[in-house]
Amino acid sequence: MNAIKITLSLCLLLAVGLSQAQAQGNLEVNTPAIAQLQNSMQSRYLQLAPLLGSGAVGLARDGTVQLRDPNAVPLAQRQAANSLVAAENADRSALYREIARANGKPEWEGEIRATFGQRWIDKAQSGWWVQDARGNWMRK
Amino acid sequence: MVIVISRPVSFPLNFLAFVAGCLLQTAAPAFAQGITLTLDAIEHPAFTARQIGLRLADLSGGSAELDIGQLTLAGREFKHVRLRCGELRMTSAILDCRHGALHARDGAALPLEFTYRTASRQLDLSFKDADMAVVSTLLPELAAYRPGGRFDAHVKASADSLELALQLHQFAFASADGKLAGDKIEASLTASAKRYDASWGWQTSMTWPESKSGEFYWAPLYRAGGARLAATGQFTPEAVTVNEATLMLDGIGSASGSLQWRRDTGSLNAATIETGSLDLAVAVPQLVQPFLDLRAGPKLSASGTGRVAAAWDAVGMRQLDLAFDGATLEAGTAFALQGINARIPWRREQATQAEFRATGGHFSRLALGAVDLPLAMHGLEFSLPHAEIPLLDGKLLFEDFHAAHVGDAWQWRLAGALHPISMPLLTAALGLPRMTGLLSASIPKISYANATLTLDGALVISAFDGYFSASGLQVIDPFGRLPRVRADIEARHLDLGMLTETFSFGDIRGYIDGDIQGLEMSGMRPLSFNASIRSSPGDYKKRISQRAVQNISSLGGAGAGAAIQRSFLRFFDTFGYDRLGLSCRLVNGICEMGGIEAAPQGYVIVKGGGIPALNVIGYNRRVNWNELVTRLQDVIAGNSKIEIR
Repeated sequence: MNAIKITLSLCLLLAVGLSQAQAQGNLEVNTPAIAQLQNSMQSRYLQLAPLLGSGAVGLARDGTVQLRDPNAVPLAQRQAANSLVAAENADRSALYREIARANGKPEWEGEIRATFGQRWIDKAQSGWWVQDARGNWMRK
Repeated sequence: MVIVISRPVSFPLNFLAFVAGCLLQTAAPAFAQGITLTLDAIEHPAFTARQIGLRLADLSGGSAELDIGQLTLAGREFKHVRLRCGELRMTSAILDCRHGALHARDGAALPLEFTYRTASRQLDLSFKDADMAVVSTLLPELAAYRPGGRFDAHVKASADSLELALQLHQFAFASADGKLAGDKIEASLTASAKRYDASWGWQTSMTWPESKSGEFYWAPLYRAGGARLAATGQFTPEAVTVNEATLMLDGIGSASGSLQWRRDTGSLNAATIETGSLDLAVAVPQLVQPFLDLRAGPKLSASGTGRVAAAWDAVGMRQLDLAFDGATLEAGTAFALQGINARIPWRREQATQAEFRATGGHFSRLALGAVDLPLAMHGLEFSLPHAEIPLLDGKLLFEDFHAAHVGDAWQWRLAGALHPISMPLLTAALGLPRMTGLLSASIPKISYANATLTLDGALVISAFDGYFSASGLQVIDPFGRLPRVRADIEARHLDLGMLTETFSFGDIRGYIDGDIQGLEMSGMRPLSFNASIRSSPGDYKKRISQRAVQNISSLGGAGAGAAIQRSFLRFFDTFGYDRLGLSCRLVNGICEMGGIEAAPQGYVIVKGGGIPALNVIGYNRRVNWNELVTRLQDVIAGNSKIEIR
């Protein structure tokens, strides 16, 4: 990112791991709205973790989670998995937007999303599925 | 004996039986040791076969083996087809294969038996306990669905007719993307077709029992048995037509429909669907909620009955009829409507009128009265000239609602008003401290476009003998995960007596004005603002109780209390004051505080006047917002531990 320097400290991947993003002037981004999103994501993590572990859900390059192998989820639970992924991605999109806004730079949203996408992947547990630079899925 | 025909020949389908019959009649004694017949090709209107080898153990009846290097049937090509018959009987009238098997390239086999009658040109073909996985090796396009399980099938075919009876056992399949799948399905299907010149008329029925009959997923819908389908239609070179199809879903209801699909363009020409009375308590979670979940939408529950009818043409949906009878619709605890009776006849190219009535409901904790929404519709434009919704002892009034789909987004606007509702009722319903007075509001115009709700003009709410006015109100992404609110708010002439009594803040007599400039909230939590309150201009009684002084002091932290004149104050319950005021500029979670004027190392919050005089000075210029809110909550709850000494 050109104009800003963002440092991300991911405490607990997918659950809390949000961050301190600092722009030029010590901008604190841990706003109440971000805390609200963190709580929402954290409470969802227990349900999401088995899907990540089984490889049904993977970490995509664009900072979202994706149901990459629906066939790994029993049919009766596939609706719930879809719902979980959609809710997680709604939170993540809101989070990236919120961090950009909290920095006073809404136009940074795309870059923040990309940065987070890479960091989620870097911090993913061994055995989870992640997307490489060309969008191919690989097991970490 | 070996017979070789090395040039392509055209034969009737009963060629093999014919050959066999001739051989039997003329040369039977010569074939005691078997016969091998090799043909380069057979061409027939229904199929073409090349590199054919037929080996017969005994023409009078015995095993036989047919190899076809390349078979073209119904426009499909099969390679290396091998058919074995444990017992083959051939006469001029009949070709009969018992204990047969169709072998795939990998050696797996489909057990079959068939009889071909030359006179009627009719084929009876049976598969019994056949492996579905083998079918995918014969039909490669099925391989992507990884079919499994077993099946029994009986096909009766002639040049002009086809009959099929199929039983599926433990049938499983899954598309590569996981959006279409089935598992352990036990179902039966019958189908028949009859030829009329270039077209075929067909009918089919499918039964999928309810109990322990497997599961089916068609993203995002899931079903575990309990379905029956019956359909009739035509198949022509140009189109596939479903004249009528009826689907029964146990526990939900039935739907019938029709469809016309153009084969030449691969596009929909027309379709209709009409349901019977549906049980919404089952239909909504099974058929509606999955689509909402895909968009992280609200959780809906419903009861009552509903009906849906829709029609499409090549352009898209052209009409939709929705009807609800005695229905209840709930979105979690946030919203509910009961006693819904509605008729919504939408037409793409006609103006129509919808009726929507509900006997009551609630919005959050607020009870709603009867709702009557006579919605006018014309394509993707909707308008509602006037509607009233009773709310507690007042009512919400909507005027000039207009919505339209512009580009790929919805835009809408409305005006409205809140006719007075009593504050005691409202605060009780919301679980807030009891307030007195009336609440009313005027909403000049609210519009929605570009995912932003904008209030033109000012939202004015009367309260505490004064008013609050919000201008420049915007709600960005109001239906999203984190709605964002922007507004400028001014409050004028609020009765401090009523206010402090309401919030158990002690007792302050007088009036205040307030302003919140640049309020920005995210997820209903403030991000930034520049706020101040101060005594209203004018001549009125100004008294402040000792308790209120304590509470104001506690808001400023321990430092504020230190400046209070001590010694004799404890003997007075109330004090006079000249004016009071407090300001907070919220930035990054920190409230930069100020008062009505500067004081040494601080700021004046209450400037004393009269006897006894009292000044309250604040010293903390920067207070954490969350901490301030906690202190305020403690004060209201009466838990403040700050003491005056």
